[in-house]
Parts: sequence; C-alpha cells; structure tokens
Amino acid sequence: MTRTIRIGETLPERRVNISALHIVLGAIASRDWQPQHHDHEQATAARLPGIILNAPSQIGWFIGYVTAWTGPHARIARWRLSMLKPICPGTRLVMTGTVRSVKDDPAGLRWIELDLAMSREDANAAQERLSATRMLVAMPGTVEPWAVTAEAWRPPPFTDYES
Amino acid sequence: MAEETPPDDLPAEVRSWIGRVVVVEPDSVPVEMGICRLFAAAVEDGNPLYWDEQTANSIAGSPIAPSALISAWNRPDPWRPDGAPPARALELHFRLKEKLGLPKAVVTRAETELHAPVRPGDRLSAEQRLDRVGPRTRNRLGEGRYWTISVLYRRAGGELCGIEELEFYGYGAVQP
Repeated sequence: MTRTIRIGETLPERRVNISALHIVLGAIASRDWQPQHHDHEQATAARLPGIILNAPSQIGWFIGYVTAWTGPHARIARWRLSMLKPICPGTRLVMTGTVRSVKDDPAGLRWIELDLAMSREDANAAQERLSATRMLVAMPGTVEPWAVTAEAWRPPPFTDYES
Repeated sequence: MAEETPPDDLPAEVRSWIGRVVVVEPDSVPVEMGICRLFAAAVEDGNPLYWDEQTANSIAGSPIAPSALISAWNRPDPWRPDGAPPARALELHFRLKEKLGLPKAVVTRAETELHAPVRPGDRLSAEQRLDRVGPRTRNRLGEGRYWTISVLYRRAGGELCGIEELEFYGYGAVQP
C-alpha cells in the first residue's frame, strides 16, 4: 500500500549512547580489523580521541534508523556518506532525517531521497554534527520494491547530480 | 558526461589502467545469517528481513544481508595458516599509491549503489576498476592527486549486487 510521504517531512529523532561494544562489534562483524576500531592505545597514538565507529557501522545505524521509519518493504538503493568527526565510546548520538525528494517512476516505485545526520548531544542538549548521509530508498508504489527484477531496478541519481 | 583526458604526466602503466578493471578478487567468505545478525545487533537494527525468516520470505523471498555489509564479504582475513601476510583490501588503491609515489591517502567521497540483494549462501567477487586520475593539485594536505576507484560486487553467475565508488586524495610524496 502506498504511504503518504511529503518533501520536508522529518523522521522521529533516535538517541543512542555509543559504547565500546557498539564500535568493536560493528567493526569485527563488518570484517574491518584496522586498530583504530578496537585498540584504544593505537587509536590515541594516531591522534584520535579513542576508538572510532567505522564506515559500515555508520551506514548500518543510518539504514536501521530509516527502515524503522519506512518498514521492511523499503529497499535501500544508494547512499553517500560524509564522516565529519570521529564517533567514540561515550558519545550520546542523535539521529535525524528529512525527506529531500519524493518521485514516482514509471516502473511503479516511489523513490524517497533523505538527508540524514548523526550528531553528538551534550548535557545541555547542544548538538554537533559528526556524520551525514544522503540516502535513496525505494518504497512500494504500484509494485513491491523487493519484487523488482534486476533488469527493471534502475535507481535514479541523487537530485544534486541532476542537470 | 564528456570523457576526461588523463593528465600527460601519469606513468604509462597507470594511464593504461584508466577505465579498466585492474584487480579482481574472485571470491569472498560465504554470506551467512550469523554474521548478518551480529552486525544487525551491533547497530541495533531490528529489521525482520534479518531476524524473522518467515517475514523475510514473504517480503523479499528470503532473509537478506544488511546492505551496509556489501563491501565486507571480500575483506581478507587478518591471519593466514600458511604464515603469509594478509592480503591487502582494495589492492588497486595500494598499487596506485606506489606507482604515483603518493604514500598517504584519504577518502574524500564514498558513494554506494545497490542492485540485487545479497542473500545467505552468496559469495561475492569484487572487481576493482580505475575510473579517473586527476592532475597534480594542492590542498590543505599538500600536493597530490585525486583518483576514483569503483568496486563492482557480483554474485556467482555475474549478477551485479552493488557498486562502491571511492574518491581518494593521495599526497605525501617524498621530496628529492
């Protein structure tokens, strides 16, 4: 069933306290053995504040945030990740998102483009942006995204690439 | 988009790589739901496509692997029983750094496009293609070049599962 989603709509905020376990588990499950994701001493020797959340984990958090809002019928099509500052244990993260575009295509999919961010929230509720992602998601229109064949699956470019 | 002419001062071997798949990792560890669920637990993602086989079957035909793991399956193990050093992830990037004499590099842009969903039992190949090498330039990191590598992930039979496009800035040449 088609769901009404409007440009400018915001996703409900999600908060999580990032632990060392989140960081180490995400790195190892994504087969990323680089020491800055599990070894505090090596991370600080590399002038980082501590071990840092790796790129697949950041995308994983963003995707989970989006699909908790869309439901499992949504199919992720594209993302562009910008890691702005390290995300370390002890960070209170706030995830936010806004719908940037909504387009129906002739194949029967509804393409939703989102601007997503992870920010650090301090005790005074002040926020500092640590990571941002543009994400394209296929939603059910007249067809189910997961039923679309490889030949018919044509994710459009991000709107900022359109001429 | 108009095709870009490579800079004249590139080594001939690097020029010959542009537009071609230079490195192929033919196989990966098998995709399996234990690791998929461990990753989903790490990012606290309760999507039933990872956790509930019956729901996953009805929506997507089977459970699927978290999309964020598209680049993970081909990463080499950190240890080998024959004592050989572990293979290098994204080998083409290291070869480029060596050929261009630019020992340091940072990722400046990363974009991923997904195609066929990755499912339990899949094994993915990874084709590393050099798309572009830019002219010498300078930024806050010093003199260097930008280059773009695409990695095409395919399941057995050749079906495309995703393309990861990575732009790097290489720098840190040793001054004579």
